[in-house]
Amino acid sequence: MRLPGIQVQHASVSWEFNRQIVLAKRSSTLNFMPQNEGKDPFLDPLDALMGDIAISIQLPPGLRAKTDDRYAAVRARVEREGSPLQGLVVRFYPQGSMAVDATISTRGTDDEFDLDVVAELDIDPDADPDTVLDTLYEALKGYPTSRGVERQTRCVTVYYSDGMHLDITPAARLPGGGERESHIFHANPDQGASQHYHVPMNAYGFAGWYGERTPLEPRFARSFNDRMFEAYDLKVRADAEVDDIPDQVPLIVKSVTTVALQLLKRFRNVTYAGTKGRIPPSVMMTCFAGHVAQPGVSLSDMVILQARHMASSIRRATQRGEKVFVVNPSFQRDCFTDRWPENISQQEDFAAKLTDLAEGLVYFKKHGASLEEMRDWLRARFGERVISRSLERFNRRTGAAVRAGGQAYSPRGGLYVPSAPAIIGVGTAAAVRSPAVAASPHTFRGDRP
Amino acid sequence: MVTGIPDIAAQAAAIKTSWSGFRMERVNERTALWDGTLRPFLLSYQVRILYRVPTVIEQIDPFRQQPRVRVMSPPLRRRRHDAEGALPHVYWDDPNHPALCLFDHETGEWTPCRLLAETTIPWALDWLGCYEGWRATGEWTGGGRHADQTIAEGSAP
Repeated sequence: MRLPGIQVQHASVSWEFNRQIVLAKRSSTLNFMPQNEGKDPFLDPLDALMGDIAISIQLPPGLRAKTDDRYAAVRARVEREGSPLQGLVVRFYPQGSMAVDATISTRGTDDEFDLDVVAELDIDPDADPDTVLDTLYEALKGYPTSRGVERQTRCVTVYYSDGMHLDITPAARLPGGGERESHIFHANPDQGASQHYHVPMNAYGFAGWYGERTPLEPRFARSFNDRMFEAYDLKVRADAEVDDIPDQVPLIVKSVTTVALQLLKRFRNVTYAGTKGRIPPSVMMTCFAGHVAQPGVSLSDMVILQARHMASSIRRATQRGEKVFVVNPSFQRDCFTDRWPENISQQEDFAAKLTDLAEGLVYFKKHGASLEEMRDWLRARFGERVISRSLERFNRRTGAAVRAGGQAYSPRGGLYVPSAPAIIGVGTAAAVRSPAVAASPHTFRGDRP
Repeated sequence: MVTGIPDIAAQAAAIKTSWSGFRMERVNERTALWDGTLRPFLLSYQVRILYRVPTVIEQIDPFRQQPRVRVMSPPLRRRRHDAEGALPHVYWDDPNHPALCLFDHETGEWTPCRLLAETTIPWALDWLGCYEGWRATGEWTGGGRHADQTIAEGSAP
């Protein structure tokens, strides 16, 4: 079956995940470049707090484990016998946050997640956008999910009962273009055909660019993932090397740049909660993050660095009297700022928010603050529930260590809870200064309350 | 390795080695004050430790002889109607600067034979970490048990 107005370009069909390619590139990079081990984010109190916030906004490992099966099931649905797209699916691959492992909870929620996948179709890249999107919707309509399927302006969304939303964006390769250079299709159902158009994109190339700039930081990744699995009652095998982590507990988070990016995306979601309209796009923020990626920087410093870089880039555009303009480094025609900002005032507002965040963190690092003071400041920027949950986890981990004598001290009078000894053995210990004294269990007493 | 009851010089030497932020003021031959900074997380606290080395003829009594650790600044904040008390695990001998209660004197966790550098100071740091967590979340996670009324109403250290 062929769609009217849609011509077949080629018919090869392969199943391939962008992320796997990115990781393969990372592995090969590690073979040739001196590897930066990264920093354990849980040795510094502010980094530890930020790390706990990041854990609270992550795609839970259990949901993540379902993604590959869901991609496969959706693809099977799209190319089933009798589907209007039967025989036209070239490949499915993750794009956006999922492709760079930077997924966080959806704007306005703490436990819903948007995942994006490209459905590369063997069709004319200049096919009518409305027809392509309608056809994909027809192919997915009736997909067995309790929350339904919805046609959007550039994609079709499958809603799952566990809070996952899978956005499937149809794409078609551009003839003569570089690897995966494609068109996606823009057609707002409420607007006339004259306002429908094609959008150049290369999500695959962008994920590869970002992946190469954010190599695996083993110490950071081990520590962060261990804490994350601990939060979900999972366990990393203690003797596993980084490359040997079992499939069921993959190293989900790999670089400090990406965790900082997740925090900034969460900050954006919270500070724009309650406002209507478009918000600064994740892909633009990811591009900014990639440009300042630096393995080995502390988590809080990386948040500050990214926030300042985004703000200064925006302000330079404003000084020129222009809207900020960010394109895909791997495909210049792929513009990341085509729908935001709508005007200079919008971008200045975002720059001001970013500056407030960066300066606040700098102040805390310089002058200090109690957890209680930090709590109120963080709630306004990362969300009340998330901060409460993160602080509870932080506090319980501290308390458990104190009760068991598992805490550690720095000679300057600092207190921290190191990663589990087996994890330290992988390489963390070298980064920790010799503790002032060994911790020992003791029992607080005192007057009757 | 310290044997017997360390004198002030031994205590001072151990503190100087492990806790560079503490300064000692000698009160008399057997008594000293240490002022120092502890920073469990991001906020620094000025703490004062007063300790008198018991004489050999005194019967060992950890409750009475324990070092008195007080937070001088910033002021410790209380919370009314908290199940743990307005301020958990302290002795209200001085309402403005209550002494922290860092160990169970009934179980031998601390005796005058032990070094403050290895017990009192790190345990005060633990207390401050738990205090900050309690203030931020309402939950005291460091464990411990409250003294019964008769002990509490006895002579605070």
